[in-house]
Amino acid sequence: MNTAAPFGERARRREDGPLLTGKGVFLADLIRPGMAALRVVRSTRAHARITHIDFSAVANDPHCLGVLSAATLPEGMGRLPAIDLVEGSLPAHHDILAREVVRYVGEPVAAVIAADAYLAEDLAARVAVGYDSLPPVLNVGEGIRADAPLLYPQFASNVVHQTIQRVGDPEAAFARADLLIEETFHFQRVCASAMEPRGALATLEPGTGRSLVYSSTQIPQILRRELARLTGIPVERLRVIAPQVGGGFGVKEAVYAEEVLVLLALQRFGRPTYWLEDRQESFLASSQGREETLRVRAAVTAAGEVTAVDADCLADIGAAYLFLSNTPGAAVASLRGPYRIANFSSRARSVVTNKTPLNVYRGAGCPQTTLAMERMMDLAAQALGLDRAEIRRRNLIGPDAFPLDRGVSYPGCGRVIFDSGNFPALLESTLEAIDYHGFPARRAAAGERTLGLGLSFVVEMSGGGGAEPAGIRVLPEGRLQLLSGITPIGQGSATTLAQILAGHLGLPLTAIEVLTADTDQSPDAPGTFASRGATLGGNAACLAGDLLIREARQLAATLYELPLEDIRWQNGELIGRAGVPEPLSLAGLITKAQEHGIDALRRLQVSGRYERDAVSWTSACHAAIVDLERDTGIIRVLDYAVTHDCGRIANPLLVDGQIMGGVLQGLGQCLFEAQRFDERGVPLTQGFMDYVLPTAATAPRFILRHIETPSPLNPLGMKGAGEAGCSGAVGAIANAIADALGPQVPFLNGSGPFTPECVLAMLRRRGGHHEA
Amino acid sequence: MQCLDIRVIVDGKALTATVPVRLLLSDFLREQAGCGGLHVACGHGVCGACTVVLDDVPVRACLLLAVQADGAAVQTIASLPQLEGCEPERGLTPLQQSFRRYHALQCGYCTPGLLVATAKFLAGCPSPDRARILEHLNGHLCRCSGYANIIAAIEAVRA
Amino acid sequence: MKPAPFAYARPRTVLETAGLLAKHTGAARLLAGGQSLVPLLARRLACPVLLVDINRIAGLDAIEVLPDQIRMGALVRQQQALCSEVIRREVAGLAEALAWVANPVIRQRGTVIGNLIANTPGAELTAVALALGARFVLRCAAGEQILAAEELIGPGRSVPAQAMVTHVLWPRRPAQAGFFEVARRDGHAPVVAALVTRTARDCRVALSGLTRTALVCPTMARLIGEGYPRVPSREALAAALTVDLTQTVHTDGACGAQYRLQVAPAVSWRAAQRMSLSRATA
Ligand SMILES: Cc1cc2nc3c(=O)[nH]c(=O)nc-3n(C[C@H](O)[C@H](O)[C@H](O)COP(=O)(O)OP(=O)(O)OC[C@H]3O[C@@H](n4cnc5c(N)ncnc54)[C@H](O)[C@@H]3O)c2cc1C
Ligand code: FES
Ligand code: FES
Repeated sequence: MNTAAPFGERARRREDGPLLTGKGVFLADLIRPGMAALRVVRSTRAHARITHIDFSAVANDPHCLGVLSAATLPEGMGRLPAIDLVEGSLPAHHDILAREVVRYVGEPVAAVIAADAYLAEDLAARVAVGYDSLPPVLNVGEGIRADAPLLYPQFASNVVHQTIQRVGDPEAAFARADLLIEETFHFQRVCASAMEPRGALATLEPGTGRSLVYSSTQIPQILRRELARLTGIPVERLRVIAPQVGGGFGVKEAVYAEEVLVLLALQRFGRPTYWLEDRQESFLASSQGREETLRVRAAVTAAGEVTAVDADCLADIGAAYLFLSNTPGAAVASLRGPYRIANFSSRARSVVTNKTPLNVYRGAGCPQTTLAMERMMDLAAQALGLDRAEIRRRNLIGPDAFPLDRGVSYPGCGRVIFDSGNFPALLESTLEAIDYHGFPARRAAAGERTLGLGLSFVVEMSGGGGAEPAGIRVLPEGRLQLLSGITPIGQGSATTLAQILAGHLGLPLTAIEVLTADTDQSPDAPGTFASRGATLGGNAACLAGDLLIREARQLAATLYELPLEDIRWQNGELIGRAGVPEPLSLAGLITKAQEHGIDALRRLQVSGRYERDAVSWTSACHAAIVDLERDTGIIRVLDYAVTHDCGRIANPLLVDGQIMGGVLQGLGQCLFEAQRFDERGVPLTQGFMDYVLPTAATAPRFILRHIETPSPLNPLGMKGAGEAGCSGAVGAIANAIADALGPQVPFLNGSGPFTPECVLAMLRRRGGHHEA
Repeated sequence: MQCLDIRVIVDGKALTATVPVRLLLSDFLREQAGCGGLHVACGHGVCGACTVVLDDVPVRACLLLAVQADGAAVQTIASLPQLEGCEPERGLTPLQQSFRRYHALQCGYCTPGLLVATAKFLAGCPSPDRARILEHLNGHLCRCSGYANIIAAIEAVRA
Repeated sequence: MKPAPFAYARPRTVLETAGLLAKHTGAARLLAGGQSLVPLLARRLACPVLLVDINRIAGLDAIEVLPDQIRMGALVRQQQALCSEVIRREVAGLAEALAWVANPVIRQRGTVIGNLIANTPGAELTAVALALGARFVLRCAAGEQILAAEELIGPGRSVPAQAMVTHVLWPRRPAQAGFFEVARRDGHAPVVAALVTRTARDCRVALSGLTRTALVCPTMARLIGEGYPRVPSREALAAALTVDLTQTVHTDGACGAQYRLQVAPAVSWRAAQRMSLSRATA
């Protein structure tokens, strides 16, 4: 009987050993002497026509091992992919290297290759690029004007995508409403800032001569497919491996020019070539997140029921599509969150601007919609004199309503159908955890301190991206290798997947090794994003586990000449009704098979695809208590409670880690982080001195609780846990800040970050600031 | 380009090398001294990922030149047992174990620098209160963990 | 982010250093703790022909007590000064300010003089140097020269290219001191910082971050000194500050002028509070 690795244990991670001792192999650790460094020459203009690219100062330099520019790229080379285009989207794709026009500061224009990164940077500095400046478009407001300069004149508009949703009869509901609320929220651009910058390395595989590309990516399988398309190398001649990835959060969920360039350099100059992003480049040329303008109107009855919401979203996607650039804006479809709101309409448009491309970043568009909807609830409560918890109570979808078709669809997951949840229970649990009822007394006792409390629900899509394959290989001593398509990016997926499979098969955790992130080993899978790892990877692993059980039973039946029904799998072993002397382990089965000259290892190698639609909806209720220093404007988050429902939990230790990490990213967005551009479109933050990230001192005291309403959509009953921490935090913290400021203070909605400067400006608008 | 010969003791092993004078210590340690455990996340001194101990003083390896370490002893994550004053080759150190127990790392990229700095910090201040721990952590960025577990892991090992 | 090529020298003496600077006037740059300079080298915002590493010059790491001043060498690290009993006693305000600079690891390498010479707008120590009347000992091939802090700190002011600062001289001034600052995030680079320090005879206040160069505030100082140990209200401090504010308020990407102006009295108030409290614990 094996109970060593049950599903649900707070198992310590198997990933930790090498990471704690400095033996984890990240991309930079793969660089060997003799490999060449690639340096990208980047545009210094936001919008300009390229007049010339002059390599003459480097061409004869003995350190120069090669140069690349658009002119030297293969004829008819494709452009970087986007996977969330719908009918009618205008194909504003990136070239690998800019042709004719540059559209943002940092855009790759050329590349030089040298023996090391120092020499490559020397050379890159000497490549002369001539520009004729064009007027830049630096925000969506300018971008949609009829007389705006066009980034892509062939499209006749900077609006490259639009999605429209409609449920019920919003106009009628607005006409009948007792109260109308309208707000416009501006969300600033943020940088995901994974601690490991991006990087890629192309080399030839010894023995086979295939091209082997290593990349710090969340999507090695897709990267291989796209590299094949772009370079013309047949897929089977390409292998892509993601080594340890030092954080992703969406920024490594795209196919980037540099990944293509190292492979082209290998092909063209015959040298293994690497590119390591430096932090300054990350701020220019890695995807950014969030920026949009969201106008929301709500119709509310006197009793506090929100009867309709209308939303108009203009997403600033930067200069071109980068993989999932439409998704954040289009996610406005899920604006209503946990609230019934029978009538709904929305329009989401993506606007190209002369800035770094936008892509999904932890939560995609959900942090924006969460903040907007949750602010609307507070504003409605305030206008009606209702308690903030009470107004939510009156609008929440009941626990018996599932499955619930929300009548809208969502990019990447089709129709929005809430699978399960218990929103009222989340609310009551969080109110208790944060001591909601004791808060007025705490606030009154705070003396000079001004406290504020904010609530926020979040309902977030998880597990999109399509079917998930998995395979299992059995090793001679009976141990298993799970071949998974889920790329580890720090979330501990190897531990979780091993737990799930071990629990499913009744084997000890140590019997299972997890192999991922290598296109040779792991099956062709979508990759790691949309909080899909544990749910899809886990269910796929179980499916493969079932196939393994069937194969093992069949093999045993053959060997012992018994009918298949007489052989059962129980607690990791085969049990026969008769004839099988005693429980037979996999190792025993293999030995027995060998005695009969049967190659059991081949027979027991299985693979399958988890095909069922597994888009499930994770929900949570967050509450934050903030302290506002009225004379300095400094905001500190003191306490933070979350009741989280991600269905059944494979490993609570890791889920809690995901939530806390997510909350701190939401906190960073709310209080500190912003990528801004000057009037010529030059990014103002190019390092961590200017881009302010949260530190330990900013972390609140956490109170985390869980409610498990299993998802009926997948056998494990799981839902994703990677993003709702981040999305809920922006809503709760923004509401807490508004609460601390008080109802008389105009709240600059969403125009984060709520820096001390911004907070004092809000207080000033009311006039008179210090009461102390 | 000017190069200099340097002698450095890295994690107890004496090394000699000829290095360009502009080579950063972080690059030297990673590329020539085999210290893959030293991570560079920002390259401008803010994140703390590259923290090593140079002649007993914690420093940012990305803000020093390799030639400046000439004649010095450098300790990286491989010297963590020594920095914590425990026997090497005996599995994880108490700090490493605590990080594991409290799930104080996710992607692990920030971890080695954080462990080196924390070991050194605790050696000089064995029972820090929370405020001291936060002051120490001010020099380290972690984008994954949310910090709470890092604080808990350090609190659990203080004397 | 890799430095451009440069030549490197590692002089052993001040004299040797002065000689190198004379020979490469304008093209050489001194490297002390490197905590400001190396990031500039890495981003190629500084591209000296010759980098002169002064870290191996003997004797520059001492804090010496002279009859009426404290002499601090160019290699005294920020953390060393912060932990020095002498500094705490005799240069009241410096240690209090240093506790806000960067973090302990940066401070173990960064020098006090390098920090002052880096001349970063808003840096904590600039307020201290101006309020306390620090003086710098400069050395070039031609000889030695002593300059007041005002002559080195501020826009357009810098150490002459052929000179090295060998020491900073702090007047001995046992006093009470309080320091406070606001940043965009606790522990981040300062936006506005205030030093308040008081002896039985006089009170001094200086603000960094409000104006491009740290601002000495005699009116605020008088107000705080006269009211001691009661701290004047923020409103009273704000009124006094309008008298002291002789330069335009600084603004940059980190923070606009209006916030700096609005928060300065609050920051001063808190520094004064800390100063008053320091008596209780002294
Ligand atoms: C993460 C981080 C956070 C920081 N936070 C702060 C902060 O909050 N507040 C703050 O004030 N600073 C901060 N700093 C800067 C830090 O204090 C630097 O140490 C200091 O500014 C420079 O001192 P240094 O010895 O390192 O000088 P270096 O970087 O070596 O030199 C700085 C400049 O001074 C010149 N120089 C140095 N010594 C001499 C000399 N003896 N004679 C003539 N010229 C000389 C150099 O040529 C160079 O131009 C921070 C730095 C980092 C990396
Ligand atoms: S890499 Fe050195 S401090 Fe960030
Ligand atoms: S664990 Fe990923 S940055 Fe700290």
